[in-house]
Amino acid sequence: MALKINKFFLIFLILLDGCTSSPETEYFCESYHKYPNSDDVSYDQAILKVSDNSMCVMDREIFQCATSGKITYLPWKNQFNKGTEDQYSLSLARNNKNYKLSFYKIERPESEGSVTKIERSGRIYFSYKGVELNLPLSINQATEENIKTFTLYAISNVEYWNGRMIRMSDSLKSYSEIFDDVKNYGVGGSTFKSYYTRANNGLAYSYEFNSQDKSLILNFNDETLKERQYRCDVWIKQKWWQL
Amino acid sequence: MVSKKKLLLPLAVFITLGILSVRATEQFLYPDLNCSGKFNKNKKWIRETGNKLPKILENENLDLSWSVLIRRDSITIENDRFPFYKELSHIDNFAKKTNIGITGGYKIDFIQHYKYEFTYNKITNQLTVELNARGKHVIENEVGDDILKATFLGKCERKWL
Repeated sequence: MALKINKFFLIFLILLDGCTSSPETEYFCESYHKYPNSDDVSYDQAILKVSDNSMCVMDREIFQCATSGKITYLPWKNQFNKGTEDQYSLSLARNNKNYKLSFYKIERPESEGSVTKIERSGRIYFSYKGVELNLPLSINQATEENIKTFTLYAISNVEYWNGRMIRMSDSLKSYSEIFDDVKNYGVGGSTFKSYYTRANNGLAYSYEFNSQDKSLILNFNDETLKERQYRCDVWIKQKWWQL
Repeated sequence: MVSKKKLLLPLAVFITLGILSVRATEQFLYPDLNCSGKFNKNKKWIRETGNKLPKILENENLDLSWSVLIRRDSITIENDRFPFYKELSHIDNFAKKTNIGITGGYKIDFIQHYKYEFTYNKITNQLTVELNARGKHVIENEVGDDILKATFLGKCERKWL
C-alpha cells in the first residue's frame, strides 16, 4: 500500500513539475553580415535560451539572462584604457512572440573615491563631484518604468567625466535642459554655484528575438554597426550516447 | 585448484581480444580512411588595372594521399574538422550525412574569400574536394587578384587497426 502511495506521489510530483516550470528552448543563431561598399562578409554566432518569461543570450562568453519585470545588474567592470568602470543592466520586454532583451550601460570614474556622492535608483544613476551645499534642488525625473523623484544637491568644484545622458520621457522633456552638463544658479546675492549631474544610463544594445520566424536582431546604439541579423534554429545537440 | 599463473594467460588473451574487437567495431562504424588520388591546383594573378592577362603563379597536378577521420560528431579531412552538430566556433564549418555519404564545407568572406566543399561517397568510396579562393595580392608594386582553384579526387580505403 505504502509503495502504491509513493508511486502516485511520484507521478503527482512529475506532473506538478511539468505544469509549473515553463519550458526553455535553446536556439543556435548564425549571422552573415555584409559590409557596405565591400564584398566582405563576417560570420557570427549567438545562442539563446528562451522561456515564457525569461531570455538568456550568450554574451561576453557567458549566458546573460533577464526575467520579465525585473532588472538584472551585472558586476562593475574596469575599463582600464578609459579610466572608467562600467556596469550593464538587463531588462526583458515580451510582446506575444517578440522578446526584447535590452542592455543598458552606465559609467563612473575608475576610482569611486574621486566621486563625492553616488545615488542610484532603478536604472538611474547619479554621481556628483564637488562640495555639497545646503540647498537641495528637487527635480522630478521619469524613468521608462515609473516616475521617481530625485533630489539633486547643488555642488561646486565641478569636474567632468564622460557619461551618457538618460533618455527623458516625452512628458518631461523640459527637464532635459537641467541635466545638460554644468548649470549655474544663484544661491543668494551675487554668488553663483554650479552643480553637475549625469544620469548616465543609456541603452547600449538590445537583442530582439521573434520566436515565430526565429529571427534575431542585435541593435547597437552607436554609429559603427547599426544592427546585425541572425537566423536561428532550435539547437539540436549531440546526445550523450553519441559522444 | 587452478594456480594464478595458469589463469593469467587466458585472461591476457581475453583482454587483448576484447580491446581488438572494440577497436575493430569502432573502426567499422567510425573509420579512419586514407584517400589517394589526383590533386590539381591552379593559382593565377590578374592585375586590377591595365594589362589584365593572367599571370600563372602555380599550376600543380600531384598524386597525393589525404587522411579522412569519420567520428560520431564530425568528419576531419586533412586537419579540417567539420562537425555534424552546431557548435560555438568562429568559423562556419559544417557537415551533414546524406543517403550516400557525407557532404559539407566552409566559407570565409573576410579580406580573403574561400569556398571549400567536399563530398564523401561511401558507396563508391570516393572523396571529392573543391576549393575556390580569391584575394588581393601585390606583385611588383601592382595590385591584383589571386584566383585559386584546387580540386582533389581520391579513392578511399579503410585503415584497419
